[in-house]
Amino acid sequence: MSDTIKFIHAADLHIDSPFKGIGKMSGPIEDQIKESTFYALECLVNQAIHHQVDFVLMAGDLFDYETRSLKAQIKLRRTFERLKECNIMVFVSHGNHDFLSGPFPPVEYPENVYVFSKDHVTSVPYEKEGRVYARIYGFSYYERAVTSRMANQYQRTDEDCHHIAMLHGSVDTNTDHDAYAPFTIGELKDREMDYWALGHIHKRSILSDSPYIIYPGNTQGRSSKETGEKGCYLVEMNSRKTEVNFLPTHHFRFEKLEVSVESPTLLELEQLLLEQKEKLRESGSAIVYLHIKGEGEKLKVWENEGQIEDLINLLNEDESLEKNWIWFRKVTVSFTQPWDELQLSKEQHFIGEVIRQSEEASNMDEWLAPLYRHRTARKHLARLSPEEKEDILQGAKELLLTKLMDR
Amino acid sequence: MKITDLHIYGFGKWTDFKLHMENPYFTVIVGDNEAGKSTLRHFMLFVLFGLPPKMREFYQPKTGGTIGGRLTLIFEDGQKVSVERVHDKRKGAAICQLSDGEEREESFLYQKIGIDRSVFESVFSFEAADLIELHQVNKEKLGETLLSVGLTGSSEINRTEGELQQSIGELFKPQGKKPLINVQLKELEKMADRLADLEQEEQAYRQLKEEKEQLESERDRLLESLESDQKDRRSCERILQAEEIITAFHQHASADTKERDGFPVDGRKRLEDLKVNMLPIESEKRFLEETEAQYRQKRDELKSRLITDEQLREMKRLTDQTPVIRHDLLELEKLEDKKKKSQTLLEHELEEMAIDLSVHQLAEYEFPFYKEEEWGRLARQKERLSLDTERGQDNLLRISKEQQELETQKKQQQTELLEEEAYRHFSAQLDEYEREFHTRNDGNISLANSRHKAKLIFRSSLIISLLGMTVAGILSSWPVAIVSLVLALGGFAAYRQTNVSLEKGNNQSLSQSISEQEAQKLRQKVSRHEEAFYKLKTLEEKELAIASERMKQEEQIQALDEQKARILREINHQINSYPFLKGVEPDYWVKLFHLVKSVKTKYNSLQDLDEEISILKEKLPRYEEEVDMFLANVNWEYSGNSLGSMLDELETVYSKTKQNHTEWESQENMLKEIHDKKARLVQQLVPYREEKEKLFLKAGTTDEDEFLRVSDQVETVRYHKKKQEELKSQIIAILPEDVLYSYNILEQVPSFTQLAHLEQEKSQLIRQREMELEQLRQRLADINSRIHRLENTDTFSDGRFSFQTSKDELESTAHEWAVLQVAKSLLEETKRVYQKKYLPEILNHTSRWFGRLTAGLYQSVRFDSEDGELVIRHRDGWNFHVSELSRGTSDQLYIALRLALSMLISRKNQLPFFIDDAFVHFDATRTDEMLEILKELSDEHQVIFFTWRKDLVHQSISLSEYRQGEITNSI
Repeated sequence: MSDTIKFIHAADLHIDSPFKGIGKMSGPIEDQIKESTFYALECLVNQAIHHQVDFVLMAGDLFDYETRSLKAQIKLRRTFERLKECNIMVFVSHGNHDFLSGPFPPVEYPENVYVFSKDHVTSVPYEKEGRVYARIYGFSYYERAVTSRMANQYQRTDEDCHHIAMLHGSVDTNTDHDAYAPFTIGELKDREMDYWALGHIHKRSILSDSPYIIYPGNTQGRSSKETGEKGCYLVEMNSRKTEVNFLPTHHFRFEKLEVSVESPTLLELEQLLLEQKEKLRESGSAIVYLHIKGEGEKLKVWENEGQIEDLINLLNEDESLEKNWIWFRKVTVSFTQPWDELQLSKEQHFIGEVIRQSEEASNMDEWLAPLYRHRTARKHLARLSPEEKEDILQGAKELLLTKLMDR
Repeated sequence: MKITDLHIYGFGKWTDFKLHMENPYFTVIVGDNEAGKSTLRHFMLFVLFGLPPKMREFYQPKTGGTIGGRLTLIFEDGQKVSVERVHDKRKGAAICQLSDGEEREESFLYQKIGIDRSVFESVFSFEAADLIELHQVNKEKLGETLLSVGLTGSSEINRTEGELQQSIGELFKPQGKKPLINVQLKELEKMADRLADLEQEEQAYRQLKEEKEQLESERDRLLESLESDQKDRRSCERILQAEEIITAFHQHASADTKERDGFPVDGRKRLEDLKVNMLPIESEKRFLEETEAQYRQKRDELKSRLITDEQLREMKRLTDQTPVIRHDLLELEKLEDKKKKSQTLLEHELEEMAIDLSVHQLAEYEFPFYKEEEWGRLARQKERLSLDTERGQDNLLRISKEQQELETQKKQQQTELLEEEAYRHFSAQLDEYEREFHTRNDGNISLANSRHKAKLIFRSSLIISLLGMTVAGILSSWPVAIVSLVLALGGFAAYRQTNVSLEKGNNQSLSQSISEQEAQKLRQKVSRHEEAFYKLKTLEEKELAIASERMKQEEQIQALDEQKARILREINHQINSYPFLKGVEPDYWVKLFHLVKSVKTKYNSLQDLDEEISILKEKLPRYEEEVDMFLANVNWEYSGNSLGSMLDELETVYSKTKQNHTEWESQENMLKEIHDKKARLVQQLVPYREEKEKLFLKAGTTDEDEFLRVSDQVETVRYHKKKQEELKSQIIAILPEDVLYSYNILEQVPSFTQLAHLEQEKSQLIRQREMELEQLRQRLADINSRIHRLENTDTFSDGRFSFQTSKDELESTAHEWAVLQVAKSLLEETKRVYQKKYLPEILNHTSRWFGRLTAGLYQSVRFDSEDGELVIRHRDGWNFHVSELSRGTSDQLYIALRLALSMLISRKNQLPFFIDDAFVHFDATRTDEMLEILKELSDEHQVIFFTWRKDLVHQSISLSEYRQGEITNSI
């Protein structure tokens, strides 16, 4: 008797949630970016249908509370209807971004969708041909934050079937995100599940392969921090083995590109970037965060004179005509500083003091207050993270040093 | 650190240039403008700190060759290091060679120097350009600039601060409208408002949904009640339509429907069916019973007529004998008849024989078998004797005749005889002729033929003519007679002709010896003689034979006579034995024997018959007696008394009895059969009877009449019921179940008037509800279309996207602003800290240097913390602001600041000063003082002073002199 089941594990679809930090770009590309989360969803469904999976797991954050939209819900419903036509079940749990008490538009899903609507772990059997093939466990966030440890609520039943747990939360070691529903890998392993379908962390990772404990990552990268391929996992399991395969669903990638140049000419730089662009294009569309590193002051001059921006604009100019477009974005330029900051910091002259002061920088919030506490601006500006502050500080320091030592 | 030697491989103007600084502490290098002073300074900076590749190439000597060179350094600890840096070696990195020959990386050099180029440049390297630049700034700003020089050793702080401030202002002003962020914010606000509106609209979606749900449920409720109303109305209509049927139904329902319990279903029919089934059986049974009675009667009758078994046996015994008796009787009759006939016949035969013999005499005679032989022989012998006697007489007669005949013939033949002589002669002649004749034999043969032919023709013609004549005679026809005559004549003529010609032929041949004719004649004579001779001889022989015959014959006759006498004696003997033979010729005796013998046989058989008859006659009377007794016994009356008739009677009795018996048996069999049949019928009837009984039992009746009466009663009830059922099913067919139940149609007669009223009421209600429903539907359609629009609009999504984009832009500019702002703040903060922490020390040094440079004209330089300006105190006690100083004085202040700063920085390493024409604007006194200061400075620092003024120092290195080749500074 075959006990094989096949399913897709996805999470953090964040459908129709806008992209942060992309800024304006060419109209057609902008349209594509706008639609990219929908595209990813479409792609996921196509994969599900193509691979004839039994069901699809969506482990939270299907969309965003902050940026909830009717369009997202309607699209999701239509997508679920497509799956229904193909007799594919969907198990949905809600996460911290689409928590259940959120004021989401009332859109009903078709009956092939099972939503874990309890704030504690419940389970539901997956039946095929009148036989229970799997039992799916899960819970949903009622409120935005669930900080309790949920793992011990997962109680495996005695049924002779596959036991699959859905959990939206962060592994304890993870410090990048809010520690929602935290757990350790050991805790999960103790629950004797056959598969842990995690969500919440956007970076794809396989925490364990026995049993599989997987963060599929999000289905479409949403910022420069979420680089590379994005997608879902196709899982095929029977009593003997479990196979997992990553299936990309993204419409475009975020990539970081660092080019290192030694006293180049602008033409050489352009040539170099063109080459890199074509290389990147081979793997599909991408927004590329460019960092140009180089020696000497020419780069600085070009940057200051806006020549690099012109060059990037030139490179981006015809991209909207490409199927696989490559959009260079947010160019940062760094060059080998002609000074030794450590040495400088030890000196008692002014520049040394600048460096020393920048290391303290205790008043940063105050310095930034005019804008960041501005009545209107603060509504629209995100709070600066320590990293951002550090980034700003570094930028300021470099700017100062550059300017002060510019002779 | 001091530079003692330099060797330029190639750098700008300089190629293969060596310079030794004998007194390395204060080196003055004099050269005109464009003499290569700055290049020399740049070379030293290049070797110490390096240059980016592009910039290195800038110093490519025009004559070609390697860019780079070597510096020999002596550090405070006495270590001597030779540093080489070549553009295209080790990527332009320096290599340090220690005095012991060890080679070290560039990092070693940096460790030794301790600061990087920029700081070195801003502190230890100054040139005229710095001062020129200083004076380009605003007079008001001069103080600040100088301060910043004091702070950094360059003029950058001010400029930087200014630039930062400007950039910040361009980006954002808290109350501004034009700056980029302000514009972005304004735009964002607008977008946010719009988004809020859109969100409101999406919120409306929730309301719409709720409203839709409400409307739908209202619609459903309405539909439901409408449906129920319609149903009610329809029910009313239907009931009203079915009024007649319903009424009829209830009429039938109200009739007596009390049915006797348990009356069998279809009782009457079942009974009738049973009867129909039973009737043939019963009638058959009845018929059988009648037949049985008949048969029984007949059987009994037959039985009475039957004889006893003993009688039967007796009869059987008698009857068994009957054929024998009958045969005996017949035989007896036949025998008697035969006897009578035989007797008559016998008598008749005896009579007919006409001999003296009666029947009774017959018994006396015996006729033994040899008698016939005896009698026959006698007759035959007598006969033969007479015959033989007769024949002997005849033969004697014939022999006498023959003797006479022969005598006659003898005499004739004797006439024919030739004379002996004659005969011899003729014979000789003929022999001779015969010899001749041999030669001509042929013609004679044909001759004979011709003659033969002629004879034939003649005979034929004769026969034909005779025939013709005969025919003519018969026909009396002359012509035929004539023709035949002619034919006969013709034939004769032909014959004659032939014969004539033949004769002629023969004659011709004889004529030779003796003529043929003669020969012929001779031959005839001879043959006739020979013939007669021969015949005569024969006759004589015959005569002899006959004579002997005659003798024999005569002897025989004699013997015969003797026999005759013996036979006669024997005949007489016989007549004596059998008297009846008297008078009868012995010839007939054999015949008579036969007759008498047969008569005797017949007589014997007659005797036998008599005997047989007597035996039979003896047997029959006993039987007769038995029969008679039997018949009397069975009371059989009969008239005849002969045995034959008695037998007939017996047979009659027998057959009658047998017939009776058979009949009785068959009757008995038939009765049995009938009985069986009856039993079967009765058996057949049993289930019907039982069924019938059951029916009666069920109906609670005992007999059929009662059953039928009850049945009638039940029928009526059932009729009502059936009718009721029919109507009911009609009603059910017309009216749906729920109507039936909800209106109790079957239980009671509905009030039709009330229903009609209700129907009208409902119709009105329906119209009303339909109108309401239509309105609801319209509203729903509106809502649905709004929901659809909302569901399919991208406006909100797009709006938010561009909102986010703008926010991104804002973030980006805000970041930019933040960097600037932080930089500015940092600068300010540093300034503040710096002023507090280091400025006093620097200003002290500055005051000292400045005092010396101005020959004590100005006593101190201090920092006014209130207005942030430098304040310079004049010897006279006046305070001046920087802007109030003369150009030269401010230059000196600048230099004083730089020197003060160098004091502050180079505490560990005494780095060399590179001073390039920095004192252009100094007057002679101040220049001297400056030189003094430099000399003083050179106690601790190496000072390399580049100037175009040869007059300034006595000992100097003139570049124009040492353009090529090694030069040695001897100061």
